[in-house]
Amino acid sequence: MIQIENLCKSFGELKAVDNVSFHIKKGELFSFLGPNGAGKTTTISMMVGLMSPDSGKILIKGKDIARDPISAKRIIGYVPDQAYLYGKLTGLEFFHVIGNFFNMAPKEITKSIRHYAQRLGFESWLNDRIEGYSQGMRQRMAFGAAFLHDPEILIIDEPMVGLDPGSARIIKTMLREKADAGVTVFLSTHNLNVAEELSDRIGIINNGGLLAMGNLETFKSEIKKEGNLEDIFLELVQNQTESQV
Amino acid sequence: MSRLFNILTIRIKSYFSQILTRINSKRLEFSVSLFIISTISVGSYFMFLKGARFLEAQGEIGVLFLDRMFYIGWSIIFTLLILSNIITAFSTLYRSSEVSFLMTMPVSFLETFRLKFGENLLYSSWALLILGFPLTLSYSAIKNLSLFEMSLVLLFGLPPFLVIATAIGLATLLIIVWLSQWIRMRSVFAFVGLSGFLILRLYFALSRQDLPVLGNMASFRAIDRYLLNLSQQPFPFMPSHWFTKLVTSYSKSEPQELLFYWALLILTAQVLWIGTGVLAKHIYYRTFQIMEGNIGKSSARTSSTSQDYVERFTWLPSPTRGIVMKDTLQFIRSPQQWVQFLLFGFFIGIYLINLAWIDIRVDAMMPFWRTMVFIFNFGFNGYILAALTARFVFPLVSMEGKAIWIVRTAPFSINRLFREKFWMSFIIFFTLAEVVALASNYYLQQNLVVSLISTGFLLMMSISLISLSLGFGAVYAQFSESNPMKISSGTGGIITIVISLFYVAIMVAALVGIIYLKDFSGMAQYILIIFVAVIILNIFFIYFPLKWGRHALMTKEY
Repeated sequence: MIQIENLCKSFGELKAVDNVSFHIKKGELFSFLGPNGAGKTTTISMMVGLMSPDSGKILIKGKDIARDPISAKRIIGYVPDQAYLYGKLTGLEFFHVIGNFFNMAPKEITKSIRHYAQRLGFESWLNDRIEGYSQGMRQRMAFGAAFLHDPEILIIDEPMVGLDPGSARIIKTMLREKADAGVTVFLSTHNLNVAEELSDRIGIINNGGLLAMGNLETFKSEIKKEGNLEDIFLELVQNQTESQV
Repeated sequence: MSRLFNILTIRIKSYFSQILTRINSKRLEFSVSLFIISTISVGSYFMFLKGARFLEAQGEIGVLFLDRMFYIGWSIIFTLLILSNIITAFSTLYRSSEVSFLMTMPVSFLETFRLKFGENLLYSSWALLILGFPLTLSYSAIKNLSLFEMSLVLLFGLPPFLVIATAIGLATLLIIVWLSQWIRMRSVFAFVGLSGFLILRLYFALSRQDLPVLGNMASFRAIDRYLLNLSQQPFPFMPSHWFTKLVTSYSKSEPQELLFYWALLILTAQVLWIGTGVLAKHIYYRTFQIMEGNIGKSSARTSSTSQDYVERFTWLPSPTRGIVMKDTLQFIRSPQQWVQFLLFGFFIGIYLINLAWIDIRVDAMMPFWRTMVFIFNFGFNGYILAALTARFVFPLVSMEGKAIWIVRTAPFSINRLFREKFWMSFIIFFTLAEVVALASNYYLQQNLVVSLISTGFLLMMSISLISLSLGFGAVYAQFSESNPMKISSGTGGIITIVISLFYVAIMVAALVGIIYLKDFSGMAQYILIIFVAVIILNIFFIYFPLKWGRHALMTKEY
């Protein structure tokens, strides 16, 4: 469903993403792990068309995001790490705008809003302006907007930022449900618990390069060490840093 | 007040460091801005000087006119300063993150208000002084004041003058916001605007400005009455009158009068400084709370109506409908935007009312003067259009702000966003320009052919000026800035307005050329050449800015 091939992106001297390649299957929940500044957000920005790669290719359900961005974007739902929304609009108006962007019929939009407002618990503030929302409320709105058109692919950057434990639980449940229903979920996070709890497969990135790809078991066998994901992640990152030094 | 001094010192240091960083990192941009500002200032100086010399050469009536023009010039600046202070104060007093921070600190509200007072004074006045300095310098040159003498007048007279304007502006906003806890802010603004209009109208009615125009100008008695009228008209309670009196009394070597008006300015500024302080001490914090409480407040009924209304435009493609809904609601709910738009409308309304109410006797005019009035009117329309597009169309792309990721990840091309912004602007501004043009053509009794030519020219001007502002707005987009005024007064905005005015000047010159060839020279065959040149010019002004803007948006990374 998502195919990344030899992706490279530099900012001046800094190689933010260095020759990264991976494939993600339909219905898979994939977590992209890495420390701060590893290249996660840059990779995501290229996947959703906010940045263009220096070289390499991104195929979204076979469509090249660089050559056919509109077809590719039509099947993506994206949640950024900082959910800047249209502050002057009410939640309801915001969803109608997003629904229109994705060519949804008004009835379809209303039905979808009702469903996700109830699931994500923002029914009571739909008629308030977004500028008055807290960060957590905005984050929930961003999730609602990404789910609104029932996309085939969800790309989420740091999903738990600003969410209270109750909302975080709801989001985690919904993401797992989506993946089980055949939606491909690409999750970028540095929250190891979330990755360990939810993911079918994990990719670890550091200094722009992909360090490892697999699940907890394959990582354990690769580095021949027992422990949880946190231990493995730290070991991998530390090994790479030491080898670079 | 030592805390205030500390904060002020930090701010000044931070401003200087920002300016130095800007000079070092963006040398080209800084040089271009400096060049443009200098060109405008020097150009305005010579333009005012030439006009003043012309009036001076007309004898006594010319000198009286000159004094009156100087007074009117500063009266306009004073009025604009107050309006500019009200608009800027929305950001500095209530929407600044620094204010939110200071409100949580053990700093008195009065200290915070004083700090923001100074900041507001700087933000709102620097641009207007680009007009005020050349006006005063050229007037002083005519009055034989040396540069040193002029600098003294400006140094001592200008600060209290600016403090008065800022104090009035800020006090007005404090009261408006305070009243808004009981009455909707829109209603308060409408009431203040209407009252201002009625006071102005009453003033003009009582001062009988149109009296000499109604009389027979060929009669010496009428001229006498006109001169008498001119000397009576300056309103003695206007600070702009006191400021202009500083210059005239200095030039006439009347130290008593000079000291009197200077003392009047200083005392008024002092009284207003203390007065706004008292007002702020009592209501600033309350108004801050009101504005904070206003964030996010809306009625469910209103929102569902507006959204249903846009949903009715089924003939529009769905994504375009979404963009229209978003842009319209954001504009309506940003007081900074619609208040300024209403102000423009207010000035245009006054212009049209004056045209309608004053009996200009166009039918009795010589064809040359009738044409002159028509051309001035056309130039005025062009100027209004250029100012409106640079102020409202230029920031449109930047106003997407940090939420730009939404449209960039949505499944439509950036062309659609561009097209929506272009057509929305075109419908509004072309309609406005055409209403002004048709109404003024009617009042000036223009014939059908000339009216059609000017309508065609306005159509081209609307498309070109909107393309220019939209394209350059995308090239110089500032997505991290949320204040549209700051966006349009940045480097890109200044470049846009200068190019727009230059373009308007070319179009006016072309129209003059066509009318001259048609009515006066008998060489009508050359009209076609001018038409072709105008069309080529407009294609250039439409195509390239839009192309550059689109390219800038497509290649920009977020």
